Amino acid sequence: MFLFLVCLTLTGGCGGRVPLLQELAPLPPDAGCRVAVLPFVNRGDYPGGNELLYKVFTSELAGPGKFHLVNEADILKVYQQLAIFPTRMADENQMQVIASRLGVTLFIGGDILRMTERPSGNEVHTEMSVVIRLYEGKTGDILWETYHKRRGRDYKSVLHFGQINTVAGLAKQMVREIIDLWNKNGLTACGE
Amino acid sequence: MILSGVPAFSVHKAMPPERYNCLGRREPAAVLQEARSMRLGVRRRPPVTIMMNRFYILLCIFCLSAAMTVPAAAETVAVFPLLDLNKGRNGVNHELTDHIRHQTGLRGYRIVEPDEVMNFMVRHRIRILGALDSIYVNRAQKELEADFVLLGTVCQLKPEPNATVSVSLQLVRTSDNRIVWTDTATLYQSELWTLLAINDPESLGDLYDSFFERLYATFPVTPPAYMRGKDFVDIDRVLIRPAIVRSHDRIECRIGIKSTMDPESLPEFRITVHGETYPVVSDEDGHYLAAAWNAIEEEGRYDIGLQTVWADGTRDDLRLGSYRVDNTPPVIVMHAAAPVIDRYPTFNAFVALTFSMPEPEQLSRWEFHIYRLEDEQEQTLVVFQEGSGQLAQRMTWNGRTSTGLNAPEGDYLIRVIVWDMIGNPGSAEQRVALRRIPPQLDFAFELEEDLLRINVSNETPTPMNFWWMRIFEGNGRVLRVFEGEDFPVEVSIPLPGEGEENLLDLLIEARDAVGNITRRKLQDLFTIATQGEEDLEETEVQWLEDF
Repeated sequence: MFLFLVCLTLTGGCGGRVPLLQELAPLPPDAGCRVAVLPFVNRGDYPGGNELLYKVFTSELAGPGKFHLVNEADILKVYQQLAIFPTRMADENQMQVIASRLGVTLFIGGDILRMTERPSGNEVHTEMSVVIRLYEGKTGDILWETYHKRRGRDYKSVLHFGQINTVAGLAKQMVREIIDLWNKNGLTACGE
Repeated sequence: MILSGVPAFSVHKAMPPERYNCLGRREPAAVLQEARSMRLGVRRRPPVTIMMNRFYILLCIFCLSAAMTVPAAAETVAVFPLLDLNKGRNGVNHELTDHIRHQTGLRGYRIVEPDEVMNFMVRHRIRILGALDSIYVNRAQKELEADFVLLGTVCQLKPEPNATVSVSLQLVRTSDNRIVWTDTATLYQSELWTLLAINDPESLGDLYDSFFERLYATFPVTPPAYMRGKDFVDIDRVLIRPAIVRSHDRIECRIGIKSTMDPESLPEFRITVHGETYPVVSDEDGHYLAAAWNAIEEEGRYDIGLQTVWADGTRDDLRLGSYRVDNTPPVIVMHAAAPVIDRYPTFNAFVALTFSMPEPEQLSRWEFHIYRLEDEQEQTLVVFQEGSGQLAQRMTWNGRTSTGLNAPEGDYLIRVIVWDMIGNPGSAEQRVALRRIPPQLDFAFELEEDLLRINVSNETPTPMNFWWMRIFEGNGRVLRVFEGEDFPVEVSIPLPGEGEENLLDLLIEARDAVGNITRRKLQDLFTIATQGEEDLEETEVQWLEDF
């Protein structure tokens, strides 16, 4: 019994925390039909962290059989036309224009609060905390807000195994957890 | 092998709809043609030996098996250079791009030549990597004959120690601009370590084999079904000039259009604004579609829409932007941070001016005037300054004219004028008083039997803030200390007796309400009191009290 508990502790890791979801308004029925991921705002000090998270987020969201995403370059072009810096968040009025032009039913945007990668011997200590928000396409109103924070060593099982040593890997894992939580709470791709 | 060389685009165009199989995959015409000709070949074969018969049978089996194992038609992929975030927003990684081309080719896809992709990017002035406009995705189909474009981003790439590689890829179907596959893979050196440390990776290059295996683990070996996408019109540029207007001003909207359709078959466009529809015409250069209209009377922000009327009568509406009618001048409030004396803020050296707008709005320019008020009729401009954009929230006037000279004492009128983006002016005024003259102290002495009365008065009109006076004996001992807030004042000090030290000195400091200070020292008060004020000795020193 004791051995079992020890094994459970070692293999379980410390990844008990889950993303925190706050549902401010119900999702419209067509929310998942055409999703636009807006450029994230980088409030951390990892250079290019917002672009890294954007790529990871879109790849996880638009995996096979998942959400239909609006082309990133099309979004950036409208940003340019509306004179919005790609490092800033669009306001409600601007979101309405983007939604009208690109047929967006749901916006995803957010802030990177912290993203760090600090080498330590053969390991790299990674940490990331993000706030991701869902906005209604037609109005730009905020619907859901999700806060998530993780460290790479939260996923450590035994020895060095399981630990996530890259911010890209940590971002991917965290994005999966966020999307899983969204799915559980009713955000699904159109037609599912 | 011949089949893989068939341009996918021509197949799309030539194949009738019934050539798609039940799975949605294309059945290439060449495959059917080949099979048909083979069948014909069997029927028309001349009398041959048994060996020849076996040869044909084996050949048929080989061809059929080849047709089943090779992808139905090797789809063409245009691999665009990878964006390398490690090198910045415009970084490119040619080495990993070559790897991606090779790996994609290994999975049965035909790769568009790198030079063709590069020429395509130059031709269309594509400056960003890792993403591609829908219109260019569509043009890649036509110009590069690509069924898919593969876009990628190097998220992380670090050499030893702690070698790391992370790449995100997107396979986009050119026919309908849809992402058919995407994944991000990351590999860190220690992930490949084994307990016995056998063949552990030591450098970035050692990671690549495992990394690409991971990255391409879910890559579609069987091409995703071809889907015919809708023709679409892409708004490349929108110019709304001016975006802020007064009522009835003329507004012009220019729209740059890019489309997947032939110019002749483009739909009809109209501009819709505040419930009215305006025609759109091509401008002189033919680069833009342009429409113009007059702004309406009521103030407010109005959406500008583009209505697309297709040949079948259906309509699409989308928002281009908005314009604002603004007839209200900006309201600005100015406040001078100085004590108010005789109704006006009064200062002696600097006056801080703060500005606020009850309804903040963007300003185009501002002007700052300061007039000296000689009398009620005459004003002389002593300071002028102007600037563009927003007015600072706080400005300080140092009491100098625009030529750098100290402005004379007197009353001044400060006026600030601001213009909003459309040119509506708004202004604010503030009268201030500049008082530089320090308190002018007048002393009167009166000797009585055993008292010396000292009367001090101030001849300047500026009210006092405070004063203090100290009477010293000749040996430096403080005899009396007096303090007060206003003049005139009378103080009395006892005269020294016989045989005592009879030398008395006086120190006084007086500060008025705007900060002007007078410091005076009178030596031997008894002599001054008996012989008159001509012997007053004034000394301006840096007093110890200041420290």
